[in-house]
Amino acid sequence: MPGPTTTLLIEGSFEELADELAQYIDNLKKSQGDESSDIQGECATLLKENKKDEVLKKLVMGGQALNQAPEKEFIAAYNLLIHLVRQSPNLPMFLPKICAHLSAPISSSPANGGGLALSILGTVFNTLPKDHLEMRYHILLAILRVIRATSNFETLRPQLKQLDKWLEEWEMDEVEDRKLYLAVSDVAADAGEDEQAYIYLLRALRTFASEEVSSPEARELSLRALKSAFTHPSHYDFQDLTDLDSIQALRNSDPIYFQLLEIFNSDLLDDFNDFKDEHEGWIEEVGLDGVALNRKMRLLTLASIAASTGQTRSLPYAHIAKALQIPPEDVEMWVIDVIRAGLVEGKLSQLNQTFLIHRSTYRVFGENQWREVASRLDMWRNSLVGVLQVIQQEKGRFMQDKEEEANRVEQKLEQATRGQGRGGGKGKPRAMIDDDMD
Amino acid sequence: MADKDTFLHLARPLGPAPIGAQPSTAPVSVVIQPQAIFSILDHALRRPSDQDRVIGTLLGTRSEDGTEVEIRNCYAVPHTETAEQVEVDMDYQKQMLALHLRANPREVLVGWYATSSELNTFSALIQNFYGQQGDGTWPHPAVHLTVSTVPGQEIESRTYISAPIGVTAERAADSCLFIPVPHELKYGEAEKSGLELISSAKDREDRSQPIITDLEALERAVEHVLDMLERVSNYVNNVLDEEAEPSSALGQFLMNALSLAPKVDPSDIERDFNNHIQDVLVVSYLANTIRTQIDLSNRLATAALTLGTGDALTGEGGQRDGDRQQGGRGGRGGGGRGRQQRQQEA
Repeated sequence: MPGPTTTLLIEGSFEELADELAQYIDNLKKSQGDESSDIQGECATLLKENKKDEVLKKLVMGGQALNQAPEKEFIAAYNLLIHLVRQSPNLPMFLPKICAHLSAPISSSPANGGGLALSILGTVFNTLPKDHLEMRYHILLAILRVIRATSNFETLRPQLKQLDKWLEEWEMDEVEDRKLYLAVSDVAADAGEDEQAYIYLLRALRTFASEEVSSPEARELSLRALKSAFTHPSHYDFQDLTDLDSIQALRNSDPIYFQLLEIFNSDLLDDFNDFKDEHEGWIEEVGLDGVALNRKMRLLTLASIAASTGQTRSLPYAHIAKALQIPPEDVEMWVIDVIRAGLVEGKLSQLNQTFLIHRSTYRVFGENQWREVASRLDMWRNSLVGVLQVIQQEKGRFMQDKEEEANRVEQKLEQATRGQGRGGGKGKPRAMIDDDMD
Repeated sequence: MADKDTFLHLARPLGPAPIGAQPSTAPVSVVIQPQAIFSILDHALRRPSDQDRVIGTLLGTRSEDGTEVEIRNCYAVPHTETAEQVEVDMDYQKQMLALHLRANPREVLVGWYATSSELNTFSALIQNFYGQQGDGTWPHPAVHLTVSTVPGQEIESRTYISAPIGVTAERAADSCLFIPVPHELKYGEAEKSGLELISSAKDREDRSQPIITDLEALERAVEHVLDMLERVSNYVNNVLDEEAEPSSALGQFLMNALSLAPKVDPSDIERDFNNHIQDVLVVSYLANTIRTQIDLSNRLATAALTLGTGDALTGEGGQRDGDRQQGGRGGRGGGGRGRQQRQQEA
């Protein structure tokens, strides 16, 4: 069941409303010192000739003046304009103009201008008729522009989860999808949300079809994603990157980058040091932060050796110190760092000089890991089946006991009635016996 | 709830702000407690047959900046609607609100509901009434909740706030723009399981459902978990047999979940378990001892009663017990106790 088609509820004919709006715009312009404006008069003549589209054109062009309207009247006036424009069959003709006007700064309200513009754009977005749904894409781009200009990412965040559904509905082609994802990524990056920016950058990368993966644009975006993944302080999963076709294409165009990615994906600190020896100065050359990379590599190495402990699930300090190439007294600090990064969970035993691992992240999730999952699942299921059996057994026994007790009570009752019959009308034979006992 | 159209909610219209605070356009979100929905549905069921929709007032709480509204309660407001005009019993609304505020001052007026998804110009009128200065929700926007109550169809709820439209005051008074806002139905675990139990009775002939015991609930939960495990291990086996596409994110998640079981030595478990068993045994031994003591003193007390002496022997517990016996039911009662005792022994 679709929602109500119209949420703009206003009474009055097109002519009346258009006239009122034209007058309002005229007044606004006059207060700005522009005496020559006579939209009302022009509209009136056009209305007589029944040229509604011409009227709308005039109104939309005059809409620029609305940016100077007092903030309290701004929304009301714009809503009226939207209401009028919606009635036109040539709706797509006017919307880009309105969006452009709204993207311009709203001079009357420096503090809330962004919010006001977003509110109107949201209304335009929501009230678009069903047959112009694809226009929503352009409006969303305009919205993203406004959000970026006013740094309002927080208001956008809860809406992002609907993005996929919209894109599906609008049936846009990949280039446009990519443009939208990149716009979101830029907005997020400007707001300091590196994680979100990275996620949408990846999505943009996924839109490249397999034959375009080595195009210059794809290469540029891939490198951008790679760099942000390398330097992002809390990003440790590189598998999503290696899965991407456009990243795989870098193997030929930028082999050094790809080599570094492979090291970060699955290799250890030693391999990273070899890489540094081999390509001396390269890291500084391309503008990557060598210290941060080193640190990240250490954390990843620790995660790797923690994951490889298998069933013993414990690591001696000496082993960690050797793998990370650090003095033994620093081991605990590094372990704490890697726990904070969420790669490993466990506890340190200072007494035994070991690190007991509860959980560790596998950098490469291969067949062995799947087997491990399967065996643990089996173990869990078996023990649960055992528990279920115990419960059912106990339940059965409880039922049996209850039944027996009921039987016993029945027997007693029978005995009692028989006894009563024998007693021949004696009041309470049982009580009598009790009394005797006492 | 049925699938609904998507919409974008980025900013609320700029409202007048309390003095000293910056007016803001931060988006609004609405949380609805289920009892409000139930009472709306109940109202819809009891509506006069000639009325398509009925309306009422929503009560709840609002966060300080007005960005979060929680609808907790509601009451019906009589109104009549014809093709030309709408009439709302405003006096009734005011009286009810005052009474509610007296009983529960923390739940304030947040908006109104209607039992149909449709919005029309009357909705705009009523919305403006609820959002007005003075008796309305001003300076915050009034929340309008529509709950569709078409029989045989999914119940659908939508929430709106409103923005003014029109450039003249007369035009703005009887019109408004409804802005859809996101909402969420929130209920707790306890409410959910209670409702599940009630609704499980709807398919039964006698419309009754016995309350399940803890043990049965445990059994069901274990079976439920076993079912889920079955599904997961099916997937994992498929991955191992290369029939399903492996997803490393899923695998990582499973691994993390499965690693939640703490790592404990079997010998430690045995030791702890034995310690615990010993504790339990001691408690059960003590409980038995006390029970024996009570029985003993019971008997001594009743014995003392029949013999008329021996108070000194029964000890304190027996003394108290004996007193009660005397004050209460006397010898016959004592006899009853004795009988119970014998049955237990049998």
